[in-house]
Amino acid sequence: MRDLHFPLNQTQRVRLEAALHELQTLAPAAASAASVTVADSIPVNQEDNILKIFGCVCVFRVQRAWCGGSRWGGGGDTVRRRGAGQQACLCADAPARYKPEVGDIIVGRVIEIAPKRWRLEINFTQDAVLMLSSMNLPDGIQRRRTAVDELNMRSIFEENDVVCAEVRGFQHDGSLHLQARSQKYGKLQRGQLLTVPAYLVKRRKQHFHHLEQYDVDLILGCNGFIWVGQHVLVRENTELKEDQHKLSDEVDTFTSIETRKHICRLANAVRVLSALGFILTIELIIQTAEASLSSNVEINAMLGAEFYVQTAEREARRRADLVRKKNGAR
Amino acid sequence: MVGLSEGEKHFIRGGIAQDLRADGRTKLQFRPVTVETGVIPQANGSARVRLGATEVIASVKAELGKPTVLHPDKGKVSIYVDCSPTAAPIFEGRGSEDLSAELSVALQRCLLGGKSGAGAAIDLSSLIVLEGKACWDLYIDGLVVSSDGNLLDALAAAIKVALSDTGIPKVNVSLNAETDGEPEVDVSDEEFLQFDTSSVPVIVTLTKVGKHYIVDATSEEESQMSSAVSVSVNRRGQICGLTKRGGAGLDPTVIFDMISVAKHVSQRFISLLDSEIAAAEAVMDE
Repeated sequence: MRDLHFPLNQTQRVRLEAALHELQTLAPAAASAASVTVADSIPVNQEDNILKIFGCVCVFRVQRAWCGGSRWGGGGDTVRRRGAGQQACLCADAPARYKPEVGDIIVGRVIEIAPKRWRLEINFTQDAVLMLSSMNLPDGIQRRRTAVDELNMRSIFEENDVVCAEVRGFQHDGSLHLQARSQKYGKLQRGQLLTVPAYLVKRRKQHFHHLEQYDVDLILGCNGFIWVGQHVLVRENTELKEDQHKLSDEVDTFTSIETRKHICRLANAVRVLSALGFILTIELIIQTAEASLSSNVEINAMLGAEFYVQTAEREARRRADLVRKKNGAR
Repeated sequence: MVGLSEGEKHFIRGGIAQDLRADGRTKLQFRPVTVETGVIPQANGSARVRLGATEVIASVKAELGKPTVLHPDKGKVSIYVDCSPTAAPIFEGRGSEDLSAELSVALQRCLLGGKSGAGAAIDLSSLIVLEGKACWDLYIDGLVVSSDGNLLDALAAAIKVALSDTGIPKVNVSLNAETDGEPEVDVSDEEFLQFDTSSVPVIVTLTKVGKHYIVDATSEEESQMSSAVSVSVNRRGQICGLTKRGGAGLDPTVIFDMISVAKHVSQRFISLLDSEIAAAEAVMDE
């Protein structure tokens, strides 16, 4: 996403720096964003069997880690952790690009229709492939794909369509294989697609969020593509064709103004949070949107300097409260 | 420019029809404007204007030259726009030539006035040093750094701010009576003449999508346009230039309506820019 720029005056700049400074001091040592130097003991989350260290250079077989803010990456090497034996360590580049894993839910855009497959752009070094056989047919019957199906691929997905799918695996050349077999995957319409840096979306249990109170679908793709759109009922496959005709009767089928307001608010919340560099979770997005509603901030004023600074301050307060509660509970 | 799916296009059109665009703006609202002056120290004047994610830089350089024979009492101004390849992949190599030419011509039309020099935004006779012999040539260059729609408005605003930041060195001319040719010109380093930019117009582009017009379109909204009319208005509400883009034809009543909307919107934009210019000058004086 192109960078948003917020014109801050002097007081706003001071407030923002104070909030960001507080957030940095609050960041717990065990957070994955910690930076380590040589001979530090790296705190390990006991659940993960793999230590993930970003932005460091690991020298093979040497029991040291040279870590820093550099963008160099090394291979998977072993790092000795004091008193706990060896652990496998994955060293990766500072993650602006998406790093796919099997089972990730991603949102992509179709750029090409090739024989028996679609190619999708997903903010990765290579385009992902969605095979025709990995896609449910419109009539819902499980059968072998015929030549007629291949000719009708365009009726399922066209160029530039936004598609939600799951990573099935890697091909031999490193590109991704996708599948969209379940009802919740498929074409996304009636909404907007936002692009954020991929590292702001962490892997969670749920990536599809149906916000009932707003009648909005929010899909946090692990590749940094975020879809905010009108809620679509998981419907029978046969209605797919009818929907196409409906789109041509435009004025009647525009999204209602209420839903549109919620979609715009949530989208702006995502934009502000990604500009601040905060990890995007559904709770944070909803909180930001509701805070803007309760403080009567106009939707387009959410992209202004004042709301930007307020969001940073709010997050600093929230984390401070969290830390205080944790310390109080001990 | 990344393509848009039918669903997204439908959503954009719906938003414009319902007066609630994708980022929450109404049809006649501008994105937040950021203005900085003096970004290019070697130039006589420069400015950077950010309109949302669109970013442009304008610079003004003044050089001594000879006035044309037709207008011995006027200086010369030339405007040229370049699109940096960092703005969009299609701008690489010669891809940006068409767009740059179109933007340059539109700006020249709006700011430079007619062939006789009448109606120019800058008073060209203020650029004269010695009638018939020496004058200032202003070279105004615009650079598109990041492109997210509405380049023309951003460039016109940047040029206006850059001109307000421009200082023309004072010159002492000594006429040597024996050599009838070139006078001796002594360019002073200290004293500068500032331009009065209150009469420099701004450009407001109205993009027609369906039956509605929007101001300050993003590149996604521009992909949905049928036509666009750029109106250049000065502070007194006078039209200084008019450019139409896009293949669809427009009814004359529609054009008149668009002009009146543009006049109304431009007054707000002009006062916003003027306050930003004043703020930037205040910062510089500190």
